[in-house]
Amino acid sequence: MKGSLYKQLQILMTMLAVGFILLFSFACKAKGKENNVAATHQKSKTFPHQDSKLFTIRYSPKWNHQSQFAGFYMAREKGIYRKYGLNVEILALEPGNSVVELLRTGEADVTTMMLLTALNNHGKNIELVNLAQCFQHSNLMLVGKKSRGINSMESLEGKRIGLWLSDYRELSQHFLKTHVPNPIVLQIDWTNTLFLRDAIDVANLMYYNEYHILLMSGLEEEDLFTIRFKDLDYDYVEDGIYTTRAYFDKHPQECKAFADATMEGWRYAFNNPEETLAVVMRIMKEHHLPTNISHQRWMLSALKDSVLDDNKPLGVLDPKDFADAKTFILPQNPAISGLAYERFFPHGSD
Amino acid sequence: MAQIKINRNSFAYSMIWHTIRIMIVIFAVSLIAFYIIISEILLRNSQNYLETEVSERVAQFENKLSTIAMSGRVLRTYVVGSDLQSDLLIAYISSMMQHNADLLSVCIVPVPELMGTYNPTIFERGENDKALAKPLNDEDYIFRDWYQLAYLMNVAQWSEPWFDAFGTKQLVCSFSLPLRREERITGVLRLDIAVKDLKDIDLPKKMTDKSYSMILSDLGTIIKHPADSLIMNYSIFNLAVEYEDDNLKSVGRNMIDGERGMDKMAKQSYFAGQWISYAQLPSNKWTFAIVTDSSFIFADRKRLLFTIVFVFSIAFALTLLTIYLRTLRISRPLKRVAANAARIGEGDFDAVLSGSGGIFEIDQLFTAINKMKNSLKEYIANLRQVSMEKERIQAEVEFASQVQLSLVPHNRAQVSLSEQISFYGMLNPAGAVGGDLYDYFMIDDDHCCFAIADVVDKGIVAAMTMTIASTHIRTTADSLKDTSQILTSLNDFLCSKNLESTLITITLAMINLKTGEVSVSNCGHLPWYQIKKDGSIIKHDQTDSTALGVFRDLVIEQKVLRIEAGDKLVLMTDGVTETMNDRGDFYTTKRVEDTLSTVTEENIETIAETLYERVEQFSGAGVPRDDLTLLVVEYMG
Repeated sequence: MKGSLYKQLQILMTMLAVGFILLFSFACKAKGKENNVAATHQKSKTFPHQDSKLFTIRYSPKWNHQSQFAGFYMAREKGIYRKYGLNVEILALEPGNSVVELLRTGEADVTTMMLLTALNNHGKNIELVNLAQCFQHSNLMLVGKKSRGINSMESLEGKRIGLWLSDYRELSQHFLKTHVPNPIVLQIDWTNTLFLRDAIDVANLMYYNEYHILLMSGLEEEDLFTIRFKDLDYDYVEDGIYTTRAYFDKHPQECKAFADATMEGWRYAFNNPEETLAVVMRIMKEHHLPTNISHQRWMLSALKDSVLDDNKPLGVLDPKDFADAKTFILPQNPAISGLAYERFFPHGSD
Repeated sequence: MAQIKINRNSFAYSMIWHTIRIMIVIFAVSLIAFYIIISEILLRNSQNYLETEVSERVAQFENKLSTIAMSGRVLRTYVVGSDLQSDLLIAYISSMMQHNADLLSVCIVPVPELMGTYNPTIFERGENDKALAKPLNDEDYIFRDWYQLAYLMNVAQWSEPWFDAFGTKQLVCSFSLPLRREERITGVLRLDIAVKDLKDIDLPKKMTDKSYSMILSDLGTIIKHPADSLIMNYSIFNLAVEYEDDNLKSVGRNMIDGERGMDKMAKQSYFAGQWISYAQLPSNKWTFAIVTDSSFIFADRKRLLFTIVFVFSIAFALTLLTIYLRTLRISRPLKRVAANAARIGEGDFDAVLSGSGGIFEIDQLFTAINKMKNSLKEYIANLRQVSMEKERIQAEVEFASQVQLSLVPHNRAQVSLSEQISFYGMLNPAGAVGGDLYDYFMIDDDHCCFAIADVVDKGIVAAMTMTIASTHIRTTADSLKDTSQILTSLNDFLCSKNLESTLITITLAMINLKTGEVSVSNCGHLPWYQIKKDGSIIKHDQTDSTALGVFRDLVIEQKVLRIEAGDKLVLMTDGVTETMNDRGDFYTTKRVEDTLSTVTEENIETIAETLYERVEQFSGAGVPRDDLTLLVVEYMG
């Protein structure tokens, strides 16, 4: 009897304890929600953000911070990621690191990458998934000084042509092989100095970045002979958002949210260029990266047509672009022979 | 406190005001010319000064750079074929570092083909400036600018500033030399200096407030500038684009093209109206520039302008004071002339004018005024005498007028000398006295005489002649009792006296009051009118002779006619018919007749007044006219 009473008291105490715990947890939850709203509002001005209630994604750009990644910054800055239930950490790419390696090691969940880079690495201990295609065109170009006799495709014959060590190099080399007889191809660092000092005759560079630096080094556009790949059969689309197949399979909704939020961020960036530039400049300053606002303004403006193409849906990888890139890379990476568009770009079927 | 009253019409005020205006114009033009000239001179001087300063600092920089370059060239001879870890090489590099504080590190790398014969090594400054040899951990060094510039171009040269992440972790500028053996490049030698050390070149103290120095790389990148945010971030062309400054762009081009110069920046430029003096460093094609403010370039201009304004103001004030005092010296005697003239105007011709102040022209003016005063005094005396004479004559004329008027019977009054006849006469002379006359008087109980006459002249002479004629008619009428005889007698009298004005037109009539018989003689006078009782008008326009007073032995006829009781006779002088209006038209006998036709039933006063009023209305105001005389007679039977 005593034992039975004790047992009943024990059950009663347990129920009371459970009730208190439940009440307490509900109260904390409600309070936590309020705190989150306040925290979101406050943290929207800081970089990077942290919010334990949201799904965290670590994103790494493929290069130093600059307007090239403005859509990601503005999606973060304007709370678009948060609206999609994400807490995005934007990482800084260390010198010498490759984004493919970051994905492979799991140091980053999502990265930006050129389509050719993704296909070239696909199947090499990593399966990559394109979440969204940011740039719908190639920004790559070859530039020569007219003062050094470079004024036509033929005039490139026998000239020193500096190429970066990247997948752009493969593309440029292919172009040179098929269009320019006997080029002297040199691998160069990511600067314009050799070109400006006439150590090389032709430089491989991006329209939105190095080309403007040339112009800001005292050269005029009319001083230069330019070959833009987007105007040729080499308009291979560039930056897309990538993750691993494993990560995508595990977090398909979050990946979709990240892609949609980023493209919304791009749209906001182009609609509010001055605000975006202020954010870019702030981020670059925080990371001690040399730049100036006129250069970042040029970059943002130059990328607008590449991202917002009237003929292509925002953020969608065109099947033809995928097929062209696959054809180009296939000789180097036979592993992609069986890669289907739908598997590579799962959001294409949405 | 007494207020100074300024007379804006005074001579002194006028002189000073005009002088101020002229001097202000002269001053403004002079100041502008001076400003332009002095600005050019100061700019030229400042240009020379800044060129010298820039050249000195370029030489200092060049000295730093050439020392490093020289060290590199000497070191190259040691390096080729040496063991990089040898104590001798380390000692030599240590010695270089001890003697050259700018040398931050030294790097020696082989070309890839010779990798292994010696390894890429960096020598950093250690304790006591001793060189520490470390392996270079940059696998991609062959792609670096400093390597490729030396390797590809096969000449020693300076690099753009770059961040040495694999060595000293600083922003450095490198002098790279190709290492050669038997004309073949075997490696690259690199000597680094820290970019931050380049900032230690000061400007003269007098420039520090308004000026600063700036260094640009050979590609226009800003390497040294007081604003840290610009360093390695901006090129001069970025600034030109951001501030839409084409001038800065062209200056930037001049800089990287190695030109030396000095340019003024636009106001909207980053350099907001400042001046940039620049020159290139021969070694690495960098540009050293001094940016200075206009206030430094034209520092002395303000002082010079202040001096000239001050001196001119003093001269200005002295000139005005002198003019004021000189004009006072002239205006005081002139005031005396004015006061004297006022006294003369008031009739004081005894006022003495003196004190010309010794000015020749004023002396002459005084003499002329004194002479004028004397002449005026004499003239006034004469004028006064003439005036008195005139007043006397005027008084006499007025008296004559009264006499003349008294000769005509009760002017403008309807008079009835008997029950059978009544008269209404009007005489309105053009002047004080006139040459017209009307008269009527009884000769005896049955006979009445009346006349109207006009002496062909005006004034006192005509009045006197008319007085003579009137008197003569009255005196002879009693005895002669015949109008032709009376007038013949009057003509003889006038002709015999040789008077100046004797031509008289006259109508003389004598009426028998019992019978109504009228004897009339018209000597050159106007027609007269008979208004019969029934209202009809008879015009009597036949004359009986010419005017009196011209021809002796003049035959004067007499007409006799009979009038009825109730008939009215209207006589007038040519003052009625020859009255003109403002268009030059005469009143004419036609208008007289028209007027009379409207008043045939009226009494003689109304007839006379109506005719007079019509003539007055016709002539209007302001038109000069002749003596105007009317006589209206009514026979009652």
